[in-house]
Amino acid sequence: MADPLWLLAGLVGTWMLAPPAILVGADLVRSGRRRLSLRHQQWFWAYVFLAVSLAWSSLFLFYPLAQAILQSLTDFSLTHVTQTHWVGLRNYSETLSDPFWWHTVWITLAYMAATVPAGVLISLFLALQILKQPPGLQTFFKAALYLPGVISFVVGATVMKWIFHSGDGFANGVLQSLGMAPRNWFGDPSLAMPVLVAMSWLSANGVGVIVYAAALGNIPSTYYEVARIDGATSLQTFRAVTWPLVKPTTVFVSITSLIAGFQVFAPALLITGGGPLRSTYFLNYHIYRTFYYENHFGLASAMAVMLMLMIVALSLVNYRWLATDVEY
Amino acid sequence: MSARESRGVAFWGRTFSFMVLAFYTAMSLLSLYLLVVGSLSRIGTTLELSDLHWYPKDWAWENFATFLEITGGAAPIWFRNSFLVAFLPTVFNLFFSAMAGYALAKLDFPGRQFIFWTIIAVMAIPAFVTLIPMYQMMFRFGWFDTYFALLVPRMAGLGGIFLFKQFTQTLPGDLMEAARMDGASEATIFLRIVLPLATPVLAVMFLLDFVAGWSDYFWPYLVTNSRGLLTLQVGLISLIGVDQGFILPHDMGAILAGALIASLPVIVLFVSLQKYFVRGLTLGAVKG
Repeated sequence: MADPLWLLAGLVGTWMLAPPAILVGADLVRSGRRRLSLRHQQWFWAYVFLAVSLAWSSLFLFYPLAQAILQSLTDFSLTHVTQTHWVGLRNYSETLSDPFWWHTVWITLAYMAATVPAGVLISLFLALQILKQPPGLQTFFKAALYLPGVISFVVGATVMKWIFHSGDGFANGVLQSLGMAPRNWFGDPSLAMPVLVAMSWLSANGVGVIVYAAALGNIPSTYYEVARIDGATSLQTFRAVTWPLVKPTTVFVSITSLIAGFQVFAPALLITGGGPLRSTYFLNYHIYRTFYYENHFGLASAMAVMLMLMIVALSLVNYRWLATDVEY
Repeated sequence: MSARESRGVAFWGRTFSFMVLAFYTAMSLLSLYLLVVGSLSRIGTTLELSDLHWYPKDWAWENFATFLEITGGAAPIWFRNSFLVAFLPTVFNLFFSAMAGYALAKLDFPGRQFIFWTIIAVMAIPAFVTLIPMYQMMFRFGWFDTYFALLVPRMAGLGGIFLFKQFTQTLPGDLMEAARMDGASEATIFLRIVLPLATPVLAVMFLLDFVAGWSDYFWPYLVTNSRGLLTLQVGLISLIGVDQGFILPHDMGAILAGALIASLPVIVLFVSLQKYFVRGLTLGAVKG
């Protein structure tokens, strides 16, 4: 049992020593100097600080990822493990020429456009409102917004099903009390997606709220006092103080929401099953089905790699757009 | 606009904001409320959606006793395992993610951008893609069905690195520069300056990671076999029975009672971490 642990220890050591040694060596050769500068010392420290995380990630994240990428170039499947063949880029070309793939991409992007920016802004708004409350209530609101979402997704999904039940659900009860006809929420192809979007708008992103609340609580109150003395309106204060100083948090919340948005599949899995008429067949659900039901691991891995490339591309745009050097 | 009018606008603005906040809170609490109601109702072994009510129609406090009974008295062991799986890797991950995040935010070294974007890219991979290679790895290591499989892989996490990096980026660079001038080593700067200032974000990271470990069921379900290694979530799922549709082998009320018990530690943790979510002490450290 000791072997893998030694492997981890070796990886830690390698990450700590190899990159700085190579980088410093290259720098010394290029500059022709002989002494280690302060700059070089910082390189060593940086890799010492990163070593454990990088070692663990190498073994448990990067390596499995590399294997998945290799798998995407094969026809690997659990039904015929021993007869795996290299197929080159066939999985990729097959996917890209499949209209259904583009259907799932389009659906996912539409869902994200409707939910991700709105979700980030709602989190920021709720965090700002929470910080205006007395301390006891702050705790209550943060707990109330965050906890139910993490306690059990299955329970949450059941509740949503109950609210939008086609017969005597809560939403139909509201409609009927307003004198309108009940709707078949998840049975109507033109309604299922809007209902999912509405569900996302109406439920707070608890993680976003508490991360924002922590960041907002960290802004020195002097800045707000100065803004007040200068006679700034609350909108001006928001634009000049709050927004720039929570930008790194906005980067975090929006990129993690982007990733979650691209990977959305719990509603499809637990509520709609991708239907009706595949109107909620999200990209990630498509990959999941290809993986577990059709057993085309190679194909599913190729799709996942393309999903990753899309997420990275969008995150980069997002990062460049929001990146900032603001410091207190 | 007169002062009186602007006070009126501010009042209605505050009221509106509060209403929005109250609305989201109510939406959020709904699922928790129905969980509590369900755990106190006599539901039987089917889960008909029309059986959900606003209050327990048929009180059944015995659901909690029934839950202990149907677990065969193993519930405390499940609880202990869940706690180990959630707590130990989280402590480890917290410390090393903070170190890595700090390096990416404040230290200058070649490869910084590359490593950062690798982290974002790997976070973007759907978890189930790497699941099969990970599963095979547990067999090769001889870790299948041991605590190693439950604990060691979870010690790596990229979300914490990203969050800590985004947070430390806003700390005053002068602070670290001043310490460096005074001859403090990088380790001292990290332990004595950065960590104390980062208490709020560390509390958030601890919470997020603990909850992720506590509520994870798929990985523990995949890599363990023995009854002694069941966690609460896996145990609950085994009671519900996979792929059995809506006919349950056990009383649904008892299972919801179990789900409620399983959620208590998360609630306790959140409340006890509250006091650390307060503002850091950056102010005055430089400018004073």
